[in-house]
Amino acid sequence: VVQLSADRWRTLSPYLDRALDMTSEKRAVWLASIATDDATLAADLESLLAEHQDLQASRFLENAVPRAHSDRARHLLQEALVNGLRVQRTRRWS
Amino acid sequence: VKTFMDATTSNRPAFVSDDVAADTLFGVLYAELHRMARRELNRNSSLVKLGATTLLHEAYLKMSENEQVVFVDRPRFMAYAARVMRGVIIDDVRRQRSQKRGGLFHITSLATNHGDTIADASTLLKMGDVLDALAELEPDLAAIIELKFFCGFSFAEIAAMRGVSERTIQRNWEKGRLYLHHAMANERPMS
Repeated sequence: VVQLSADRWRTLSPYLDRALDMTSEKRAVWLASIATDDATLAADLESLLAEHQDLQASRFLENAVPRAHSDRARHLLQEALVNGLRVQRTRRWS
Repeated sequence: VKTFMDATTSNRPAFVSDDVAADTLFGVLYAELHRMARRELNRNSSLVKLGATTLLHEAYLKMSENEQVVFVDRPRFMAYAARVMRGVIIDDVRRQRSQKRGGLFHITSLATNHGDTIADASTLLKMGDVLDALAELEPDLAAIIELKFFCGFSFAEIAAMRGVSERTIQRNWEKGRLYLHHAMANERPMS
């Protein structure tokens, strides 16, 4: 398993953009050409793209949170608002 | 609402990177949701049966009717609202779990209408931390996941909201999902 730092992700991110728009045949050729210059980069991309294929196959996160949950969240949000209680802020806001 | 303008001391628009403006934007959103909830209570004497997406759309429309808040662009507003929804859903799951721990109640996994299990409670709790990390790294990717997964917007709706192609949204969603899965599988957010 590839251990990715935030920096590594930033490096890989634009390559992933390109790869996700390619057919698997084109992708294989493209990865092979990258591997001649930077074998580690090609290996990391290959591993992440394989993970992506698995997620596609298992439809990971494709269905939204069930309506019952978002409805309940909305009710809680409204209740919190109506009661004048502040919804707990995420770290970003605090 | 005027305080939002007051908080922006120069002519530049208030953006997410500006912590003070972000804080104020949340305040405006909060106030607007509060007004909507009160209005519905007065009308129905029970909480309104609005869908999450409708609620957020309405809140935005109300806010944008006021020319004082033209700085609040719609994509940014929706991203914040979706983050609120995500926070509420995850907090709710956490609260339910702590209340029922050790009891007879079995937390049901989040099953869809089609019977697919999409995420159990512990996955969802982990997702919160990882989404925070992703929001630091690539805020757009985190926002798309929050809009789609937690609020139920379609790729087409998110694309229209942001003025980009549906394919771009889908690709970014795929990338964000890959980040989430990878970070959760490795038991820690990338840092």
